[in-house]
Formats: sequence, C-alpha cells, structure tokens
Amino acid sequence: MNIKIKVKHLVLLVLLPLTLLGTGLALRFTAASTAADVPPSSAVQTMEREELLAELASSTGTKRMELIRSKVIDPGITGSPYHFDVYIGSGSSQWSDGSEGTASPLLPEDKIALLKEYVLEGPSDYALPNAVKQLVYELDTAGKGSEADALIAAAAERVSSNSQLGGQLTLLRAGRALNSGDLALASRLTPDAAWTGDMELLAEAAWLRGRVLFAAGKSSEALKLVGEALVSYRGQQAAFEASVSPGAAGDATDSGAGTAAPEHSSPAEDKLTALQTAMRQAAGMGLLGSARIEGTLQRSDGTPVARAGVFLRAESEIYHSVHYGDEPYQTVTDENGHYSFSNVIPGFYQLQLGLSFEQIDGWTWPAGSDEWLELDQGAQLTEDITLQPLLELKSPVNSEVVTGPSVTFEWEPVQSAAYYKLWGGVSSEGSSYSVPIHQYIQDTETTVSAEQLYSASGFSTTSSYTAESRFPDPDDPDSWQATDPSSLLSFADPESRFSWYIEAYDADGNVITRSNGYRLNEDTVGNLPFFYYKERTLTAADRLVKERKLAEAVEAYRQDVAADPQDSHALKMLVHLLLAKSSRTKDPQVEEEAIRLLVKLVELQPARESAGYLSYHYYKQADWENYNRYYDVFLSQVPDQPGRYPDSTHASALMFQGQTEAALEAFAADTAADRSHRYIGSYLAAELQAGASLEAALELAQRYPEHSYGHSGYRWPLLLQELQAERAADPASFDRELQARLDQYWGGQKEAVQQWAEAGEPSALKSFMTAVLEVN
Amino acid sequence: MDNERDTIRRRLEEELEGMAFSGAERVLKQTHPGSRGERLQAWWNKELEIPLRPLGACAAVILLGAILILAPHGKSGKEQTAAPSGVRELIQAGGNTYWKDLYEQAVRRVEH
Repeated sequence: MNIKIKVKHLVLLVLLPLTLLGTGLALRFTAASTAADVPPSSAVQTMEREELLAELASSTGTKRMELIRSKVIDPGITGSPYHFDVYIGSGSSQWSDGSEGTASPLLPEDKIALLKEYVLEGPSDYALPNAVKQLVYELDTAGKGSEADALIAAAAERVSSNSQLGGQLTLLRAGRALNSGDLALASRLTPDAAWTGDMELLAEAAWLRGRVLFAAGKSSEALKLVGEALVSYRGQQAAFEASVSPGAAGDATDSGAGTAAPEHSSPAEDKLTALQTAMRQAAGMGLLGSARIEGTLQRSDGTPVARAGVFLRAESEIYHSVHYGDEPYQTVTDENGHYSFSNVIPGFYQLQLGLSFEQIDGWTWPAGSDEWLELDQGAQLTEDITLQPLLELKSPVNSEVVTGPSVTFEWEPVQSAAYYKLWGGVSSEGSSYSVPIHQYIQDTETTVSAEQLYSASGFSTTSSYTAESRFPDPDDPDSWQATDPSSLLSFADPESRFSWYIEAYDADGNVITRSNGYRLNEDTVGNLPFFYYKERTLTAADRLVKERKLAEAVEAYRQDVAADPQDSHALKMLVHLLLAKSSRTKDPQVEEEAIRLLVKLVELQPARESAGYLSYHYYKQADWENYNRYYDVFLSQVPDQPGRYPDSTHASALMFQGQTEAALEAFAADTAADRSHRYIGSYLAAELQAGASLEAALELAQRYPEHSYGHSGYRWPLLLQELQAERAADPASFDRELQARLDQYWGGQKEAVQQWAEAGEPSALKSFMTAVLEVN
Repeated sequence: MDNERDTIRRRLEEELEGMAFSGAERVLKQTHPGSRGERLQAWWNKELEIPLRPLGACAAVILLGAILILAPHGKSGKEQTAAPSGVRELIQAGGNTYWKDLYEQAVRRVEH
C-alpha cells in the first residue's frame, strides 16, 4: 500500500515536527550535561553570546551595522536603560513585572565596543540616538563618564545640528554637563529661545535652560521661562489631541460638559511642572543657586553595588512611581558604587534606588519614609547608602502551631542594634495588615501574652467582599457588614495563619535592618515567618463573624456578655462590631453603646489599645476629666517606655487644659522623636501662645520641617515669614490679634477661629491659623 | 448623462494627473517570478508516492524512542526553580516578597 503526498505536506507535517522533536532532545541533553550548580539560563546565555559574536565577526559593512542595530540597539529600546527590576524608596518598594524585554546575552564590554562602532561608523538614522543613550549608560556604569561625553560630541558632529537627531544629542550633552557640575559648558550647550525642534525637545530644552538659569542665580528669569514653556507645551498638546480625536472634543461639547478632555500629562510636562514647583519653593525661601549630592552605594560588608539606578526625587514628586528614563535626576552607580548629582534646585529630596532582583535578594535598604535630605543653597552633601542583610527569624516559624498562654518570639541578633520592634501580620483572602505588637525590645526575644496579642489590632477595621457578598455601597447603612472578619477576630482566630517580622533600630532610632524583604532563592527564603496560635477555640458567635453574619454575631455576643459579664473576648468583639457599625452608619446611639461597653472592658481588662481609644474619644469631646483618666490607664499599659511616651495629642490636651509648661515639654519631646513632624503646627501655636517670638517659632519650624502629602517642608517657615512681614506694618495690633486668636484656639473655641479666618479679607495670620486648625 | 460622465471623467483625470504609478516593475516581479522561482514552486507542489508499511514501522520506532527519552524523570521540582525570571511570578506573603513557585514549594515542605 502506497500513500501520495506533496513535497510541501511532507515537509510541513512530517519533517518539521521531527526536526523540532530532535532539537528538543538535543537541548534536553545539553541542559542535563551542564554542571548542577550552574543555572541553565547562564549557560544558554554564554552560548547565545558566543553565537551572536561569531555572527557579528563574520559580517562586515552595512550588514554588520544592521546586525548591531537589530541585535544590540533595538532590543535595548523596549526598556529604557534606566529600567530596573525593583525600585526601593524611603519606606517603599515596588517591582516591575519582569516582562520588559529580555536580558541581552552580551557582556557590558561587548556592548560598549559594538555600540561605539555603531555610533562612530554606523548610519545616522533613528537608531543613532538610542545607540548613544545605551552606550552612555554602559560607559557611566563602567566609570567612563568623560569618554561618554566625548562620544556624544563625536556623534553630534556626524549629524546636522538642526535635525531632530542633532537636537536630541545636543540636549543629552547639555544635560550631562549640568548634572556633572560643569555649568559653563551646560550653559554654552543649552539651546537658546530661538532654537527649534518638536514639542518634546522644546520642553526638554526649556527644562535645561530653566535649571541653568536657576543655577546661575537668575531665579525669576528661570521661573518666567519655565512658565512660558509649560503654557506653550500644553497648548501644543491640546491642539495635537484635538487633531487626533476631533470627535471626542465634539462629544464633550455636545454633552454640555464644557471642560476639556481628561488631561494626559506627559513625562515632559511633569518634569517642567516639578521644576517649576521646586524653583518656586526654593525662591520663596530665598534659596538661589544650586546644590550637589554624591555618595556610594555599598553592602554592609563594603562591597560596592555597581550598575544600580539612583534617583533623586523632589518632595512634590515622591508620591508617584518612577518615570522610567524620564526622571529629572537619575543616574547609575559606577563600578565603585559611586553616584552624584550636581546643579540640583535646593529643597527637600529623597533618594530612590533601582536594583536587579539579584542585587536586592536577601538584602534591604532600611530607609524610613520620614528620612529627608535637605539640600540647601550651595550645599555639598555626601550621602552613602548601605544595603544590609535581612535579619533571620528563629521562632515561631514555618507554620508552627503555638499553644499556651503566651507566644515567645525569637530572632537572630543584629550587631549594633539598640532595640527591636515586633510586628504581627494578619491576612485573609481579601486583605492583610500588620500592627506593631512590641516596641523597644532590647533582647532578641520577647514574650507576648494571649491578651496582648488578641488586643494588638485595636479597633480599626478593613472592609472586604467575597464573590458571594455584594460590593459594599458606602451609602448603604448595612455596608458595615462588609467589614472583613479577619480584621475583627485578628489574632484571636485559631484557624488563621499569622505572620511576623522584626525591625532592628540603632540608639538614635534609625532602622538598621529588618526581617522582611526580597527572598528570592533557596538560600535567602529562610524560615517562613508564619505561625498558628491555637490557644482558644472559636465560639458560636465567632463562627457567625467568620461567616460574615455580623448582625447576628452582635446579638450572639450580647447574649454571651449577658450570660457571663466577665467574658472579655465577647465584650471586646461586641465593642469592635458596634464601633465598625457606628463608623459607617454614623448612628450616635450605636457609638454611645460601644463607648459604654468599652468603659466596662477597660475596667475588666485595661489593654493599651482600649484605653488609648477611650482617651482619644474623650479628647475629641474635650472631656478632660475622662481624657486624663484613660490616658493614665493607657500610659500604665505602655510597657516599653512607661511615663515617657512622646505624644503630641497629649501635649495638645495639656495645652487645652492650660498646663502650658508641661505641654511645651511634651511637644518638644514628641517633635524630636517623630520624624514626620506632623504636629509642628500645634507646637508652634503653643510656643506662640506661651509668648515665643516669631523669630523663635521660625527657627523651630525650620528645624522640624513637616513633610506631608500636598505640602512642602517649607510650608510652616513660609507661613511664619509671612507673619513677620505682616507684623512689621503694625506690631502692636498684630500681637494683640495673634494673642486673641491663639487664646480662642487653645480655649477650645475652634469654630470661632474658623469663622474669623473665613470672613473678610485674607491675611497671613488667617492663613496661619487655618493651617493650625488643620493639624491632625 | 454622457455629458455628466464626461465631466466626472475629466475631473478625475485632472485630479489624477499628478500621480504616476511607478511600482509596476516590482509588482510584476512578485506576481510573475523568474524561472528559478517557478521551478521551486513546482517542486514544492510535487506529489510523491511513498510505500506505507516501511514508513509506519519507521514512525513507530521513532515514537517509541521519543517516549522513552522524553518521559518525566521525577526531577521536576529542581527544574521549576531554574525557570527564567521572565516567566516567574512574584508574590508578597508575611511581609516578604517571594517567587511564587519557590514560596509554594517552601510552604508545601512545612505544611504537610
């Protein structure tokens, strides 16, 4: 029997599958034969590298250039050179999804040689600027910044300076001159106002010119230029968007919205806006010229971390993630881990790092979110960054089941740690949260009683919903029933798996290292930070909470409390549920009942969280007798620093009760300890009330800048400077008015202050008092 | 009617006057390949007659070999950890960030 088959069918259906099968087998054997400790990926990479280099060696002329473009330059474009696996900021960390391009098999020196060849001999086409950017990046990481500058200049000579390409290269050169501190060269290279280019290049040119002008001390000229550039850029962008989608604009008008289409801000616009904000703030504080910062990124054992991204991020820009490749101040560490930024607009900044998974695996950069760099006019700051190895947990770990009246947590000691802080984590399908359990632990172990653990989460709640439950509508009075069961039961659920982590602090209160971080290979995974605490069993009411039948659970706990008034768990759960309910329904009767029961609970079991909740409740009501009673209970339950708990709310409470001296002492202690300085406004108001001069208050405001979302660290100093200016006109009447308003404020008449501030002509004093009223 | 058609034709001619089709050669090259290409095409579509029995035996031997060699060897755990980072998924658990496969493996090890 014979079959008839066309050649093409034979090839496609028979020979091709057979070839693929054969290749699969060959690869399998290659992988199996490589040494066990060498990851296959690196072996494959070495092979790919050799193949690619051989392919390149065998080609010449145009073909070779095409090969460099397609194999080296183009694959590098998908991710900007400044694209990293992990971005770590002060108190934050984010990772990219890893799908951005594939790693090149070439070594940095291969890339440098090939890119240099393309830049100097290749065609002056679209790939040239990309080749230059990648070459510059590679040379910078190799510590050959000046060679990079020379190569950009050489590439620029190969293209017309009026072309788009020439423009890009000129701006790149000027930007590098500015960042390296060569203001004269930057000034010479930065195109003047008559320069033409597309809108993106014009925006970039204006950004550079603004920085050059500001660095040269011409702040008002710089601000004018940047302001005009922004107007022009936005105009061009709006015209472009209208031309792309005229229909959309028409619809908006038809529907009567009357407003422009949603704004799409671009990196170029963001950069200009950020520069404008930074220059305005600096100029407002009388800071002219520029600052410089440099440092070294290394591991705690002194090994430098090379090829890491370093981003200097202004206070106003810290709340959005890094713009890949378009950050105003971005650089990469050289082989000694060194980085630097010159001609930085004075202001408050934070550093952020871009690292690879391999670089961060098992290590942490313990920078707190409240750590700010103040770059003053003319400052030359050195800020070294040290990565620390993650701390290791000892017990309870690896999902160990703990029983008994307490849990003992144990971890490996950290050299030079003055104390440790223990955090506990609760997670459910929908949410997870961590709460501090013990602070100021001087040993490498601590024992936490069941009661402490059960009450550690306090009375806050999170909402979540499952596939069965509806998405909670905030207006729905029943929406409190979407409260997440795990946030109610927290550590009192014997079926739930808990986690924990440790932070190690030095004597000055800086975090040295922590146990939680990136653990990405078998050696760094270490002990899993999980445990179960099966000391109690779930009651019928607890089951109702777990089944999300919260209204029924309230009734069940009520019955439990009626049956046994000493049942602190049922009482606590009842309070928690009622507080969750009252926070959504705003029903004063429910809150009243919750507070009444909470008073009982504190009598039964004076936990820190319960007493703290009650004292704050009475603080808001200005019920000082009850406030003082529960604040004392709270203090007696703070095991870490009894009697010395820095607390600005308490300082304010003392002020409201007329105990000025004690209040000022408490404010001073808390403001020095709390790096966010979020209560500085109250502290200033207290100092002024006590008779401090505006000069003294200004000094205080400058020493303790408040960093909060939407506000600059210069906000309070600026407000005080405006007060000084206002006072100068008529000191006597100003002082009288200031004293009267402060008396009203600390006398508990906040509404009266508010009404006065909102009425009539605005003034510096009104702005100041409004800011004081907003302190929270 | 004819008059109208004429007008339209004239206008069309006027408008198209500035346009010239210069790709004729390239198109022809594509639609009428040279003799070498034609020969290749003919070979590609050529019909072969193959005896089925030896072919079947041959296929059976290859298939058996492939199954024996490619059958799992019970070492999949090790291979999982060697997956390239591009296809792995990161997760957060207990405050840490892990590769999902490595994490699940570690959890399986401690929670039987």
